[in-house]
Amino acid sequence: MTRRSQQLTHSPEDPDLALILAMAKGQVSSLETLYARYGPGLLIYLKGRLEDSDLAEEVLQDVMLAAWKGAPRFRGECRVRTWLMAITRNRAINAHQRKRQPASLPIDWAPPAILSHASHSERLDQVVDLQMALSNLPDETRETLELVFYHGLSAKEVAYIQKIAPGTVKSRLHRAMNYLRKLMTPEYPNDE
Amino acid sequence: MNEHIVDLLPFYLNQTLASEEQEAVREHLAACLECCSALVEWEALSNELNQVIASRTGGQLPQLSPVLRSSLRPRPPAGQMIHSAANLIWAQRVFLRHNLWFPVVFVVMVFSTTASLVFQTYNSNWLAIPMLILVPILAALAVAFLHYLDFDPALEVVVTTPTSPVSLIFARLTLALWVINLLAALGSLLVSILTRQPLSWLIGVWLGPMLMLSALSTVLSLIWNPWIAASSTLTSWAALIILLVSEQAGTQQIQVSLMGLLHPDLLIFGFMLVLAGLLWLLSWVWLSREANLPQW
Repeated sequence: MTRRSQQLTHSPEDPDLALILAMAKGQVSSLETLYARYGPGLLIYLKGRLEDSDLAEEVLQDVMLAAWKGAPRFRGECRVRTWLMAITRNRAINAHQRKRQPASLPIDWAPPAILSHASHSERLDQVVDLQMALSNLPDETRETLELVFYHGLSAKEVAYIQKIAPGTVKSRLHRAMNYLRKLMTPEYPNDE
Repeated sequence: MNEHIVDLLPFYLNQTLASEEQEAVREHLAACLECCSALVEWEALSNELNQVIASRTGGQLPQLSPVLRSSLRPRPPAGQMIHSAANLIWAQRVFLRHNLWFPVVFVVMVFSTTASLVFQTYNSNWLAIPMLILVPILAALAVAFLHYLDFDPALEVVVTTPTSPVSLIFARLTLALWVINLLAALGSLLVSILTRQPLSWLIGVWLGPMLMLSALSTVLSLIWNPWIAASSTLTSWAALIILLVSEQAGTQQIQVSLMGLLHPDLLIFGFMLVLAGLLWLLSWVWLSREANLPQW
């Protein structure tokens, strides 16, 4: 499903909509309000995605400029917050590419060989906590988890931001949970 | 365990389900121990994840940067935008005055007009040839060096101006083409009055090729460099003119007739106009990509 064809639940009472309308008319204070409201969350997302605080702050400025310029064209097909997050993600991807870092893993990923091929007894010897397990997840999957649990977005909103189908969001979550279960509980039955 | 409900658990937890779905999950959880257990797992994961993410916080949210603030200007009304564009184009005259650009163009135009009048005394068909030869190539050569750093008399201003190089280059292009068009049109008018030939024909002969060749020159100069643009447009145009003159003299060198250049109809003119438009569009896209900005 393409991004454009997705019908997101748009709530007319979106409190941020008035800010966007005011921004479209050139009211700078509305941008400042939007920045104060969502800047911290977006910065946290960018820091996680880019692993570079300075670059994250720079990209955040770029995101706010894009929001300012894009405000007159905002069509209200999603919440303002989701729209901002989609802009942020696009800018983060561009910044990531400029840094020429390795691309993130594909959607159809497999657990790292050292973990997936390890026997149960070998796994027992590995001290793996959840934080470390999370760091082993592919970027896209970790991003899905973050968007759902930290930013509190719905399946359709996450799908809109990540440009995937809502079903893929759910399957990513499902696979992430299975993967984490395997890492955290050695006795958990192996699929293979 | 209901697979559909399991898929909804993360969104039940973050409370983004529609109210009827939220209620359905709540009712299911009351009766299904497995799903309750899965929910506990999701909750644990959510808590841990939030702790991990919270560790990224620290420091204050930076202020909106002054550079960003300076960009926060509302879009001006159409009239003001046209006025600004006209000012920008007019400001490029300093470039056209530099290196005797304007006098050279003027002299060439006077020369081609005089040559047309001289040619007319031998053969009225040859009347338009001087303009056909000189105007397009003059435009192509001028356009090739529009953004060449060594020839820029206002470099210090250019590199510090807030105007984008794309706008500057196209402003120069517009002004240069207008000047050449104006001088060539005046020359054609003079020839038309003195020889009683139709002005539309005299202008139509050079206008299409001029647009096409200068658009080609723009693209080549942006993608490679001004020297390649100048030499390749000059060579190809010279070759075309030699073939045309041969054909006019009765010794046709190629199968295709080039007489359409001397007597262009609307189809030929329209084709050249569209081609020129496409080439300039390509130039604009090429320039707009940040990495391709030449020499600024």
